[in-house]
Amino acid sequence: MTAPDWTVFLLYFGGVLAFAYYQSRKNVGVEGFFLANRRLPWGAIGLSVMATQASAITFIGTTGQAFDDGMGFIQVYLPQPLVMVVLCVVFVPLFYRSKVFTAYEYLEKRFDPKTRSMASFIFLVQRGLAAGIVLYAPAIVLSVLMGWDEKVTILVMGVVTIAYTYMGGITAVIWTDVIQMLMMFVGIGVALFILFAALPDGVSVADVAYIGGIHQMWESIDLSWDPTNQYTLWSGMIGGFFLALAYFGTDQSQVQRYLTASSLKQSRLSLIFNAFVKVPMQFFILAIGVFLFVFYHFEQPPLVFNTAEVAVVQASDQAEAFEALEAEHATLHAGRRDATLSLLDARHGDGDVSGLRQQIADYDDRLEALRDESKALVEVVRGASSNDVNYVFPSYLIQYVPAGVLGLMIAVIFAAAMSSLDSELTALSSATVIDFYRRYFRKGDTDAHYLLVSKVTTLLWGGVACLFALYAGQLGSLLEAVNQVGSFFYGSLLGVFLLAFMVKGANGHGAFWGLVAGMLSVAVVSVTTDLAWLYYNVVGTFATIVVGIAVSGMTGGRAATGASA
Amino acid sequence: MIEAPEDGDDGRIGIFPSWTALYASVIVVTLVMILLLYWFTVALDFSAS
Repeated sequence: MTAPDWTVFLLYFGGVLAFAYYQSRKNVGVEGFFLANRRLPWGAIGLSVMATQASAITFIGTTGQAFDDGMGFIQVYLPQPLVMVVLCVVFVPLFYRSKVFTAYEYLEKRFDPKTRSMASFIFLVQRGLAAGIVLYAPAIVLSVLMGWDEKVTILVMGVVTIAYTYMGGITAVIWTDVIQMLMMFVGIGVALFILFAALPDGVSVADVAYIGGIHQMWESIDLSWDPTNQYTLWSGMIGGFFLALAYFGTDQSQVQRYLTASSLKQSRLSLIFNAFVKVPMQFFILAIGVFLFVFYHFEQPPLVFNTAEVAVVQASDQAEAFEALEAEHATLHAGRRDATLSLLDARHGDGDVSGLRQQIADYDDRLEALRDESKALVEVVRGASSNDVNYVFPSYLIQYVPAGVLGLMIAVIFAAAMSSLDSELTALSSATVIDFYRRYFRKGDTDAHYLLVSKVTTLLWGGVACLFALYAGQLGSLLEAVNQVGSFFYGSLLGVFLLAFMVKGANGHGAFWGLVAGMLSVAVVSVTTDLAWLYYNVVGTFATIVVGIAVSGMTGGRAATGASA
Repeated sequence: MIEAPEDGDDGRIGIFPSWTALYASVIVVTLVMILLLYWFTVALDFSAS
């Protein structure tokens, strides 16, 4: 990084910390720390909801995934607008009017303490793991960009995020999320502009569309019914619907956001804002990955995008073999580039394109085989699997983005990570303090005491996230890892909330055992079938509801646990 | 006397006459997005041409 990059980068960090310090003066009591005294406007909450979901993984993993597989991942996001409507109609009014601090607190009002505690515990486990992964993703970027050790970058970033979350609570978190989300919008635009600007003379946007199109990279909708296929319209609209409903409706890191609104109307508007903006934003992020794919038809990509892995191989006894692969890669790439440019010429001049397309297909096959060979070599040397999907976008940034803009893009990736991590820390802290500490260990103490405990808990969860991040290195594609961890629990959590909202006769025993049955069902399905992971949410939800209704019926219905909500 | 709801959740929502109209517009926009993406998929598939 150059001096202008460092200037932009440090300005971002300094600005966030100063802003958090300013906001920390507004934290009066535990309601101020966790819910901003319920006075925030919908615009800020809406951007914060979006920033919480859009982690650095979104930037790094999604662009890498689109580079590898095309636009198909967009299908996971398609049901989100519909989910927002369901939340506005069913979930938000119940949460908002019951004046709860956490989503799980509502479960005690409706069912009993054990159901609340179980749901909150599941959330803590799941989010505790996810917080570590959210922290690990940008650490990869820094390790590539700055030549830092991953452990150092994890600790530096974790400490800064913990510090401003500790100081400012939810108010600082939401307002810094606003800044961070606006930076992300700018970053997406800048990345696309630079990619277009870097295309060779004579290569137009239409040509980019064509090159992507011959590789089917623009395929956004897959209508096939195969339930083992991860990304189809149906897995997105069904599995993705349940995943998003569970995430936005039962995950404290999102529920906490819309509980900070000054009115129910403001709360709903924050979600409707997401309904309109989220899918287009994801479309453009994925498009960056496809543009990168086309871009690397004209510029030579690295054989392995992870420079840390390359360094390890080059220092090993496999260095010569790797060098030979790199030389062959350069030759093949040059051949494909020439064939691609010839293809575009032929297409513009109505020439015969079929022979050139066959040439390109042959080059693609050989380049792919070479990439597989190089990954195998990396695995032999490192003794661990190689997955460089998450390095594609960072690698591009280092090589092609001008000074100053690189600092901005790094700050954007940091912003994405920190805006998710800060939300998770406040959510983890609120669930710990409200659902466990204040509920079981220290009832009726002063507000100042709970505020102090909330701050200490934020520090502790930040420490846990840092520790987990230090060991998250071998999880493969980070994007899927985060969502898959969620899918093991989300369906059951959603099921128990749907039981609460929609089944009048359900009681605490039914809800509790339904929750247990839902998680067991997902575990069985994941081990014994090839069902796409998005459907795990559907399995968990229905298993929870069915068992919940059955057990409630056998244990005397709603009167059995004295529900009050 | 009819009191307004304490959360101010009634009345017009910007250019929309009611929440129902706003929700309906979200559903319509979602369907349009899916159709646009399908068109995008078909129109930019040059694999067979």
